[in-house]
Amino acid sequence: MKKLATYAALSLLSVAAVAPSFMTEVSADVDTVFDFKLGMFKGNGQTEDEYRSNTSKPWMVNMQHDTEKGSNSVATYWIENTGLLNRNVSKSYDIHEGSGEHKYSANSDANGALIALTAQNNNLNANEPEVSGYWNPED
Amino acid sequence: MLLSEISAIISSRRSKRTILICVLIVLLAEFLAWQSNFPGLFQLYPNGIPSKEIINPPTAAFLAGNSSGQFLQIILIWFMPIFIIMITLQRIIERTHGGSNYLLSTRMGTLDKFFVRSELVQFFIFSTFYMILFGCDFVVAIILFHKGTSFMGMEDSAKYSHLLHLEIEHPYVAYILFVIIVSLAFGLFSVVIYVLALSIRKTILVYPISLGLWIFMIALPYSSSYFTQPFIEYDWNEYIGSLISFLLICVVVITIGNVVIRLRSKHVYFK
Repeated sequence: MKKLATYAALSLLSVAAVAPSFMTEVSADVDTVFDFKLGMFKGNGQTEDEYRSNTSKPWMVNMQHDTEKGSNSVATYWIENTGLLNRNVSKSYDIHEGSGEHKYSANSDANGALIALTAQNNNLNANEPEVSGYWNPED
Repeated sequence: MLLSEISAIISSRRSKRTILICVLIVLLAEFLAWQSNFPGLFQLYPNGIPSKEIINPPTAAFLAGNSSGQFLQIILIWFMPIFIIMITLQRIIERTHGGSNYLLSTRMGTLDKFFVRSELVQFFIFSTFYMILFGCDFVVAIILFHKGTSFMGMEDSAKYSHLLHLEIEHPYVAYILFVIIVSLAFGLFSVVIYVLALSIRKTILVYPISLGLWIFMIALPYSSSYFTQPFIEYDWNEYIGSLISFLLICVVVITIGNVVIRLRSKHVYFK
């Protein structure tokens, strides 16, 4: 029984030691495709969580499509720390559809944490546009 | 009539509380906008924040619908009919039940004159109220974000919209014009609710009908939000289209409402 407990503890320790480096490796310099729907009346939409390491690198977003108007639509983007309480860890920015990559600095509480790209329609109308493109938590 | 309505607002606890809630919503929204921008900027630029990193005051102001505190904007803009009813119209609905509108109208002369004057009073009170509210909010935004020059990225969209281009070229003038137009529009909608209140005369119906009408106008393809929110990517077509559809609906409701009130008045006010 004692032996089993020792193995279990060792396994947990090794997983804990390897996990952060693995997550860092996965997220570094890898752009992630996103495609999600924004809620009506400025309801938020969000990507899956991604790990952001302790870095001063900016986060990056490239919104290629926004179905709101058909062309030249805008959505507001920021990143959220998806810990216990979702909180904004960068300023928000209005991104024009098809305007290329935009890189923005993140607050220090975005580092070493799981973050998600979050967006909402910049207009207070009843549309529920779908936005797509790619992003990177540390570009 | 205007003075008596103003003194009724001043002496009503419900009206004063509602006005206080509106003021607090606007101030809290400004605080949240500040709070979501500055602490992060202080971390990034300990030796002084460059002005291009700070949102400019018109973009930070309430009507621009900054993403921070936008739920407060939604509360104040969406539920605008409820606030209007709470400030003056609830009292007017209650007064119609007591028949005292009849007394007021006979003291003032004809019933027609009474309706026109009371509608003008509502329009004046709420246009002025929202002008002061949004004007004060703008002053607070100028104080909190006084060095800011950033439009949060909307500059990229200016080449696709002539209206947005003008707004970005002259943000302060544009915002002041938006405050004036939005306040006049809200004043006009207060007349719509007033007419509905006198036609329907049932509190339980006035709230959902006026709120439903307002939300319907926001949800239209030419959404009312296109003329109430500055610094968005929509151009003159959508702006004028939304303003025209808003005005048309208001005029139609006011006209039909006035006819209904006049028809009813023979049975209700002079019974």
